[in-house]
Amino acid sequence: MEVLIAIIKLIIVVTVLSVYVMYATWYERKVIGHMQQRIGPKRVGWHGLLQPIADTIKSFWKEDVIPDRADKPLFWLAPALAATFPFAAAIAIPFAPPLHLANGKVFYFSVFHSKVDILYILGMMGLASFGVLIAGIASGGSKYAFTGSQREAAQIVSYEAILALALLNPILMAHSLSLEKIVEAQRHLWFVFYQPFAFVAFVIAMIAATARVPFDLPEAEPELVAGHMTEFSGLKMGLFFFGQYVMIFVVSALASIVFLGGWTGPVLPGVVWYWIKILAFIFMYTWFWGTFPRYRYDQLMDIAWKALLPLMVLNILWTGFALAVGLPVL
Amino acid sequence: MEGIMFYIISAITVGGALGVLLSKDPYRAAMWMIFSFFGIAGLFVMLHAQFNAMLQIIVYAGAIAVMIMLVMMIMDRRTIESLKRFNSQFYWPALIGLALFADLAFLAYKFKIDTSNAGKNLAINGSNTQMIGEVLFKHYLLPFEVTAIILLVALIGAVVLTKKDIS
Repeated sequence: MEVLIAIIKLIIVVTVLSVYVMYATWYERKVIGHMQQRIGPKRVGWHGLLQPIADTIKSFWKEDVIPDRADKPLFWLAPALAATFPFAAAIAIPFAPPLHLANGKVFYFSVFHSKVDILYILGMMGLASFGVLIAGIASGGSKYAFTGSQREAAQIVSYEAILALALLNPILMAHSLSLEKIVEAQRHLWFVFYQPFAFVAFVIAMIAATARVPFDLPEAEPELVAGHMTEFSGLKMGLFFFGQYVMIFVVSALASIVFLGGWTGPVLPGVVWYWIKILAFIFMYTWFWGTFPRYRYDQLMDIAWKALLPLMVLNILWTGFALAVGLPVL
Repeated sequence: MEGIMFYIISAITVGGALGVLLSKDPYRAAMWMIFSFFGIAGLFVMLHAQFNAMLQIIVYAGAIAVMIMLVMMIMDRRTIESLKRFNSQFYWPALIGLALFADLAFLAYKFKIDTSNAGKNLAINGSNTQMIGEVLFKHYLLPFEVTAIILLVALIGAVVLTKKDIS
C-alpha cells in the first residue's frame, strides 16, 4: 500500500513539475518582455498560453544531431542525468504542509520523507552537475562545450560549499535536518531575521548553483555559443532546460522553507503562504535576469572564496557561540 | 526481500569498482566510480545509517568525484589519451588485493557466514546524526581535532608544493 501511494505521488510530482517547466519558460519570456517594454509571446493562444505546448511539440520533431567524434553512450547519458537528478531532489520537497490524519498518522505531501531531507537535497543538487560535466566530455572535443562544463564544475564545487555552510546556521538553530522540524522551529519568528547574512549568502549561492544570470558562466552566450549545450539539439537540449528549471523550483522551495518559515504566516492558510514564497523566489530569478549583467569568471570565484566563505565561517562561529552560552543569536 | 536488495546493491558496488579498473577512458572510469559510491551509500541505507549514506553521496560523489573530473578536464587532452591503465608495477597492489580477498574468503569459510542474514540490519542501534555528533564531540574530541589538523597540514603542504615560485 505504501509503495502504491509512493508511486502515485511520484507520477503526480513528475507530471506537475513537467507542466511547471513548460509554463515557467512562458512566464519568464512574458516577464522579461514586459521588463524590456515588449509584449512577449502573444500569438499562440490567449496571451501566448499555448506557446510552451507548441515549443515542446517542435522540440520533439527537431533533427537529432550527434557529432561524429562524440562519445555516443555518454552523449545519451548526459541529458538524461541532467534531468534526472533535479527531479530526484524535487521528490523530497513537500508540496504542502504535512496533514495530520484522524488515526494519528501523518500524510506527507512529498514522495520521499526522511530525517535527513536537507542532506538528501544537497546531495542530489551536487550530482546534478554531472549531466553538464558529461555533456562537455561527450561532445567530442568541442571547445565551447568543454569550456562550459569546466566552468560548471568549478562553480558547482565552490558554491555547493557556500550553500551547505549557509544552511548550517538554520540547522544549528533548529537542531534538526528534517524540513518539518525546521519549519516548526520558525513558528514565532522566521530564520531570515536571525540569520540575514546566511540568507543573503544562500540566495547568491542558489543562483550560482543553478547557473542563472548573473552567474550563468557555463552557458554564457556571447563567449561560448551555448556552453555545455552547444552540440545538443532537439529534445536532448530540452532536457537540460528541464533540469535547470526543476532545480530553480527546488532551491526556491528550500530557501522558503529554511529561511522564510515555509508554511508559517499570519491570516492566510499555510499552503497559500508556502506557494507565495516559492513563486516570489521564482520571480526573483526572472527579475535578476532582467536586471544584472553577467559577472566575469574571476569575480565569480572571488565572491565565493574571498567574500562569502569567510563571512559564513564567522557566522557559524557566532551562531554556535551564541547558542552555547544562551545569548540572542542576532 | 532485504536479501535481494542487498545482492542488487552489492552488485552495483562491485560492478562499479570493476568498471573503474576495466574502462579505457579515464572519464568513464570516473563515472563508474560514482556508480560504485552509490552502491556504498545504498549499503549504509540498508544499515539504517542515513546520515552516513547522504555524506557518502555529498562528499564522495558530489565533491571528490567532481574534483577528479575537473582535474582531468584541466589536464592536456593528449596527456590523458596517452595514459596507460597499468604501469610496470601494477602487480604489487594486485597481489595485496588478492591477499585481502583470500583473507575475507577464508574468514567467511571459517566462521560459516549465514547468507540468509544478507541485508538484515545487524547493527546494534542503527545510527543517527545526533549519536554521531555525541560520539565524535564527547568521546573522541581529541582524535577528531587532530584529524582536522592533519588535513590542514596536508592542504597547506599541497599549496606550498605547487606554488614554488612564491618567495
